[in-house]
Amino acid sequence: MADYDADVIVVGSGSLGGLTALELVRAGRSVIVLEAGPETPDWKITHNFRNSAHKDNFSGPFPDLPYAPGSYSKGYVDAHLEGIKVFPGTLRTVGGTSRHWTAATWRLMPEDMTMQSTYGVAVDWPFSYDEFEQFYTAAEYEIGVNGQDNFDESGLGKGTTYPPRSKPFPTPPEAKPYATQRLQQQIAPLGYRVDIAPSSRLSVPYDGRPACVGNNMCNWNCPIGAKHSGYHVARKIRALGVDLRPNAIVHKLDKGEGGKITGIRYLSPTGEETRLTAKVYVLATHGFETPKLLLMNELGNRSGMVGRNLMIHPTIDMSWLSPQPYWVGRGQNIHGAIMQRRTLPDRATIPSTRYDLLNSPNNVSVAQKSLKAGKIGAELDAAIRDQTAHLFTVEALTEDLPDPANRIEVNSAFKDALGQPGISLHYKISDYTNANLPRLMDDYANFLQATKGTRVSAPTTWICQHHIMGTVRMGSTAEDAIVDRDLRCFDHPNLFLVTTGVMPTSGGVNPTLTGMALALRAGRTIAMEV
Amino acid sequence: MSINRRVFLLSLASIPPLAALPFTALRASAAAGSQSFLAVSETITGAQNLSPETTQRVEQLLRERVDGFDDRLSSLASALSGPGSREALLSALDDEDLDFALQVAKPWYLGYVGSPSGRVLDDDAAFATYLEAQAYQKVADIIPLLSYAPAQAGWWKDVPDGVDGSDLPAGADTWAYQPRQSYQIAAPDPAWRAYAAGDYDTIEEAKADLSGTGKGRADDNTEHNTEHNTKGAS
Repeated sequence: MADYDADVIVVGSGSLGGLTALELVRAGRSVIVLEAGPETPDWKITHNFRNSAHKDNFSGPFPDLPYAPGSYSKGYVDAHLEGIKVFPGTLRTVGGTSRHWTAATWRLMPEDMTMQSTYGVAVDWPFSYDEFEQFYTAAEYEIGVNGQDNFDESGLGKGTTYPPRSKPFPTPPEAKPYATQRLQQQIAPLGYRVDIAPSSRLSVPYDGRPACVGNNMCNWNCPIGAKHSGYHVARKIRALGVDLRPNAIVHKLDKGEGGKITGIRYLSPTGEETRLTAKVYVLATHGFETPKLLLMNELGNRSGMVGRNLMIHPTIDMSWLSPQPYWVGRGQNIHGAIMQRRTLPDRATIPSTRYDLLNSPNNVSVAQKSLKAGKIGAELDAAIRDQTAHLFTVEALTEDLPDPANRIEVNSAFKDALGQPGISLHYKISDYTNANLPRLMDDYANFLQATKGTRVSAPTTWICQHHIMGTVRMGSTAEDAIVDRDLRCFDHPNLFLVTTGVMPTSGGVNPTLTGMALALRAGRTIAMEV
Repeated sequence: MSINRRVFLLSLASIPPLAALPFTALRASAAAGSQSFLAVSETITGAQNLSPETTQRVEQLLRERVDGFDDRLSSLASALSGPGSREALLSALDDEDLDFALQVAKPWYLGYVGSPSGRVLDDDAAFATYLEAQAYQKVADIIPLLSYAPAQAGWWKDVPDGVDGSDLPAGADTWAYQPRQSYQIAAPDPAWRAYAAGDYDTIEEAKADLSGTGKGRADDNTEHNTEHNTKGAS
C-alpha cells in the first residue's frame, strides 16, 4: 500500500464513478475520487434555480466555472451539426451530470445488445443480457427504482415480464397523475397502450431518502433528494472513507511499460499540479471528457475509435391542445410511456422509439407565445390558464446507430482558464433517424384524432437527449473497440473506463441505469484484482 | 387534494411585510422605483400584491434595456391612468404604448428579461422574479410553483379542482389499469394525417378536402406489425 496513494483512483464523481468507488470501498479497497468541479449541495441548486433566468436550461443552476467548463459553457464545445441544432449538456460537479437527469431507469432489452445478430445493423455487445441482468438488479436496489410488476417493456404484448428480471422492483409504482389517466383513456381506442416509466424518483422512503412530493423540478435537481443522483453516492462513499477531492482537474496520465498507467496528475483551480499513484485507474468522466482525456494523452486508441461512434438519442416532440383539460405539471417531470414502437421487426431500417409523456407545466411557454402574439391583460391571462390546462406534449426518444463520423475531438483552439483544450463535436442526423419521421407523423395524427386535438407542434424538428454513448466503445477486439467486456482498455491493463460512452449500441431508452450496472460490475471486477 | 393551502402559504412567503400595508402605503414605499411603474405594472398584470422590491428590480432591468424608458413609461402611465376597467384601458392603447406595455409584461409574466438560452450559456437574460411571475400565479391554484410541493407524496393522482373526472373508471389511477385487453395501433385517418402534417390549417378543411377518403377507424385499418395482445389488468 505504501507504494501507492490508493488501491484505485477514480476520476469523476458522478453516479457511475461513485458506484464503482462504492463497490471498491465496500470490498475494503482504498479509493481516491478526483472531481474536476466543485461541491454544490442540493439546497444551493434549488436556490439557484429559483433565482435563475434560465429555467429551461438544465445546466443553468449549476456553477459555470472557467477552470472546469461543462459542455454548455460558452465556447467549450465547437459544434458541427447537421439536421439538429443542439447537443447534450454535461456538468462538472460533485455528483456529475446525473445531478440533472430525470431519473428514468430503463433496462436495455436482450435484442438491444445484439443488434447485429438480431437485426443485421450496428454491433453486438461482448456479453449477453442474461449475464448482465444481476447488475441491473443490483443497480436498481442501490438507487431505489420504482416500477410495475409483470411489466412488458417491449410493448409487444408478450404477456410476461420483459426483459426478464431476477427480482421485483425494489419500490412500488409512483402515483399516476390525472393528466396521464386522461390521456390513457383518450388514446386507447386508437390502439396506444400507456405504461409506467420506471424511475428512481422514490415512491416511498428508501435508503435514507424521502418519497417524492411532486416538486416537479426533477430535470434540474431534486430539492429533497427523492430523485437519485450521483450526489447521494458521493456522500455514501465519503462516509465509508473514500477520499473525494473536488476541484481536482485531471489532465495527464503517465504511461509506463506494457502500456500500464503509472501515475495521474491533476491541477487545482489555480494551476498547482498534484501527482498520485494507484494500482488501478478508472476514468469515469462521462462520454465527452473520457475520450478527450484519452486523446489528450494519446492513450487507448489503437482502434482509432476513441471519440467516435457518438450517439445522442435523436428526439422529437409533438404537442396538441385537447378540449379536455389535462393540467400537465402536477407531479414529476415525466409520468408514463408508450412502448409499442420500441422493438418492431423493421428495426434495421427504422429506429426503436419510446414515447415519454412529459409532465412539466406549460404555463411559461404558453405565456411566451401569447406575449409574442401581442396578447395582454385578461386575454393573456385566459390564454395562460386555458392552454396550460389543455396542452399535452409527447416526446419520442429514438435509437441512434453508431457511426464513426459522429465524433468528438480535442479542440486546441479553445483554452479554459487552466489552458486545457475544448471539444470539437461532429454529429449528423442519419437517414436511419429520418426514416422514422413518417411513422412519427402517423402517431401524431392518431394522437390528434384520439384527443380531438388542435395541432400545436408537429414532429419535424430533431433535438436530442442529454445522453452520450459510443465514444469509448466496448467490444471484443482491440481493432474496433477501446475497452473489453470488463471495461478494461485493450492497450492499458490497469486503466478502466466507466461511462455510458462504452455502450456500443444505444437502444431506445435512457442509458444511465445501464451505465450504473456497468459501474457496479466494473467495481467488482477491479476489487478482485487489487 | 386541493393545493389551496399551499398557495396560501406561498403567498405569505412571497409578500414581504410592507405589502400588508394599505395600498397607498405600498405605493409610497417603492421609493427607489417610481409610482407610475408600479401603477402600470398593476394594470398590466391585474395583480395588486406586487412587492416593492420586485417592482424596483423589474423597473431597473427595463430601464437598462429599453431606449427612451422614462418617456415611454410616462406615455403609458398617462394612457392607463384614466377611468375604465383594466381591459378597456389596455385595449385602447395605441401601438407605441402597447409595444411598451408588452415589454413591461414580459418580466412580470415570465420572470426574466432578455432571451435565455436553453443550451449554451451565452445570452443576455437576467432574472426578474420567480414568486411573483404571473405565468405561474395565474395557474397557481392548480399547478404548484416548481420546487414548492403542495402536499405529501402522491397528491397529483387526484382530479384537479374544477375538472370533471367522473367518467374515469375505478382503478384508472393505478398503473396496473389498462382500458383494453389488447392494443392495435390504427393506421392514421387521411384527413387527420394531412392536418397533422400541416397540409391544412384545420381538421375541418382537411376533412372537406379529402372527403370520401377519410376512414381511419382503428378497427378496420391496422398496421401489419402492431399486433399486441396484452394482459388485461384491474
